Amino acid sequence: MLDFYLSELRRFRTGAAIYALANLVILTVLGQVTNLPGMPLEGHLMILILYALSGLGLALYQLGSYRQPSRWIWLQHRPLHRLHILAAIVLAAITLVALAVALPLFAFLAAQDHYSQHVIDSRYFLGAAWLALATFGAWLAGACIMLQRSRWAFLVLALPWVLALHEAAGSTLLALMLACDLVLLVLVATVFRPDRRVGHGAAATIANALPLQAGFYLGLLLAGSLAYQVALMLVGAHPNNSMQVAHGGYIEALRLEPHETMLAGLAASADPRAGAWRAALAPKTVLEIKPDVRKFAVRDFPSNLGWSTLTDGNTMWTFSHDRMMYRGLQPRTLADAGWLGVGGRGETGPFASQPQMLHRRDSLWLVDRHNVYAMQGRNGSPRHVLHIGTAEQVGGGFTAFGAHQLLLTNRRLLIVDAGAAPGAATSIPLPMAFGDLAHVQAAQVADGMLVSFLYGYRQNEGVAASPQVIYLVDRGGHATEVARRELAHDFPALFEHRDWWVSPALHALTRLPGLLVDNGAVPDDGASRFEPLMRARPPVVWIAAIVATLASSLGALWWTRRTRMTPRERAAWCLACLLLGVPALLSLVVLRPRAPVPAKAPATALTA
Amino acid sequence: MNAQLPEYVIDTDGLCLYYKDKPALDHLTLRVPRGGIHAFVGANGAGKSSLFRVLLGFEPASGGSARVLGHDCAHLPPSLRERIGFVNEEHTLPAWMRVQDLARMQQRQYARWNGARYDEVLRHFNVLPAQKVGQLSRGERAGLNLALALAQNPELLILDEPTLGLDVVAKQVFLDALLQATADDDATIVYCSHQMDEIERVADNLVILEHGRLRYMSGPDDFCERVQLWVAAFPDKAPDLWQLPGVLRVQAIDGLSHIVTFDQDESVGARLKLLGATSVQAMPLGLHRAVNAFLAHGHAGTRRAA
Repeated sequence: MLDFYLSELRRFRTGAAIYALANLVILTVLGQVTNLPGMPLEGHLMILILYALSGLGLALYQLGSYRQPSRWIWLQHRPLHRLHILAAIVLAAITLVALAVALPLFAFLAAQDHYSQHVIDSRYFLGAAWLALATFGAWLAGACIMLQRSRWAFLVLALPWVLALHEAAGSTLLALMLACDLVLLVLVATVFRPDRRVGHGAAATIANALPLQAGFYLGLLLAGSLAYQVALMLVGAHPNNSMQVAHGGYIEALRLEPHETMLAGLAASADPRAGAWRAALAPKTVLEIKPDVRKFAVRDFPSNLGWSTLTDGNTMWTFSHDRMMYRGLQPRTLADAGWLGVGGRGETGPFASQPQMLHRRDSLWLVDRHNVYAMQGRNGSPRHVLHIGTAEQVGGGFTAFGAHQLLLTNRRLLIVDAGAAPGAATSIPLPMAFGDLAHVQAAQVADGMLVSFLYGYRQNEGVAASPQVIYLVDRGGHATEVARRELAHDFPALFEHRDWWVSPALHALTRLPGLLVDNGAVPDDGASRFEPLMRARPPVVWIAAIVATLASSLGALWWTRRTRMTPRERAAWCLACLLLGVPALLSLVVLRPRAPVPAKAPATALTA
Repeated sequence: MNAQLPEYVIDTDGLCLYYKDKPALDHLTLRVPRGGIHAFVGANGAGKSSLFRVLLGFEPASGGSARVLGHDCAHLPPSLRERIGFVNEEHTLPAWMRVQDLARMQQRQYARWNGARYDEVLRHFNVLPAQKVGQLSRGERAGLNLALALAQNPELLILDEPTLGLDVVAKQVFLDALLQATADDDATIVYCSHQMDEIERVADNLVILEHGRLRYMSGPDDFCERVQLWVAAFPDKAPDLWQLPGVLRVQAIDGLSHIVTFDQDESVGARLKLLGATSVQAMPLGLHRAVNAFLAHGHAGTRRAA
């Protein structure tokens, strides 16, 4: 095994050295041009793609050369267990990735930390380790693609997509990537055998079938959705690109001017004062706010949801997850400007989470999960404005409206009078889940303040209820519901619930990792984190799901007639198709191709 | 013969292998006895390489069974792979390794490594230990491959067209090295080649495959005795000679009809005379021409060409 390991290293040592050097040089140059670790997620994703392509390319070349029949025999036909040979090749790949990817990344970060004034959090080192693991994961995926006999092997790429790509803390991401790599390693091990076929053992079959099914599931959703929407566009009937939208529907409501939306909602009101309110509403008298903070960066997330810097006069402040405070830098002199905490300059206390900046006209506000701060003056000191308690989270929309400030949380809309104590705020509970809220509108009328909540943000994710609810907040601060209308759906139910009826089980399986991991999303108050798996489905969607699974099971019954399977294996596949639907049937076709029926035996040979 | 060892090194029964819907091996039943050099011949697509891939466990059989050295080919343990050497036509060895490193790696992996034999075989070729495999000529790589395979001391050595692409000198050196190294050995050698001069020189047993089926198996001399060439002169146009029994090939050369028959007695001469031949002459055929005629018989288009 050691011989093979050294042999593979010898094979790629020059390439790895050149790659490592080029990697370090490029990182260093980019590090001079921009704050590479502090750049937004999109930039880091580009870096991830480049490293992943390197890992994938290495595997395609390395294993691709061994896959040629004569080389494959040379590699496998020897007195070594196949897993020992694989271990040598895998260890060589790990070493190469460590040398060419991890080492330059760590060297770059260490140099930046030591020689520059950039904020280099420990999360960036976790990110570098994650990138190296992701590169190795791409190598493993490439090995799977190259070794499996099926042309559909590329669907294994669904595995890191589902399992490892989340906006979570660095340690969580590392654990997920490690788990993903281990699963991929098992997949490679199942096909790293002389005949390169997935064995008929239950464990090997399940290990190969599940990622394939997840890949088919995601592929079907993507392709089906794309095909349907392109067809709608071609006939000019796509709701997002046409004037023909459902009357009284969600998209129509989004296209209306704010006062028109309020008027449409009030049209459904039975309140005798509604006519007067409608008459009083004019353009520009209605304020619209949006839940513009749907997500906070998780602490120690190795990337950034946007640039994490705020500039104040001569100082550029960059948020540090290690200290949960801003660190200042004078851009012209690159001199350290110290720290900025919740109490202003200096180490005056950490923020509850990485704050998000809300720009409102000429003012700047910082919000973390539970607090609102006003950034004031040229010295950039934050002033604490509001604390909402730890039971709920800020959802954005912090905007001045007359003498009031409106603030959305995941539980309620707060109307705070200017100058009043935060505890004296008027509070309107959200009529539905925060995640479904599209926008909130407010207008002053003679009887008080009309507040409209428009829902339907997750219509396309299978949330059925999309109401517009209007409250009247009277002078005493009491909120009364005065109007409610249900918005029509712009797409058919089968499209909105497509990710469920195609395969309810795979829907749950592919959503589960994302639901279990804290990705920083502002949660729906009081809702289970598994709510997306428990949504009510309309009858037509249930029928579609049942038909799909039954058809898949019958398809499996027909397909397995001409495959060499034991009755037990055949029954297991039919049951799997009944449970997992069409993706399971497709995986059956790939993993268990139909065998040709041998003709009758020919005449016997001539022998001495 | 050791009672512990199976009688046949290769034992297939109704072996089938399909690529998509095309049969590569078609109910092949073959028993190759232990010892000697067994030459496998057949036209392209006869199933020779496919058979070796099944025997080494690199293709799962579509039907039937296959055993090598008494073991099921689908589950060959590493210990058994040590007892089977394989040399293919491409002599694929890692181009990035030095000859000495490659030999050292093989030596560590094969418990029955015979260093003296490795040196002895390699001596026939102009290969330096410090050379990289990628720098070797095709003939030198073939020699190195043979030296590595023979040094494993295998019980069964499969050579799949090992001299393909080698020049005359390299081929000669390769065969000399093979014969010299195996002269005092009890290894069984399966030698697959299209070169009849090689077969004639090395084979103890002849196995002819055609369309994935076993067509013939016996000693080369016996085979040659059963194939006969008849040269007949017809005054006018030759009649349809394919109607004669056991005809493998019919050719018209210089106004004479050359008829190759299999397993026929002297009555063919009398039949030719009855068909109007003015003169008939029987003569034996060399292995080369005999096998060619045998294979040409089953080759698509041969009869039409005749």
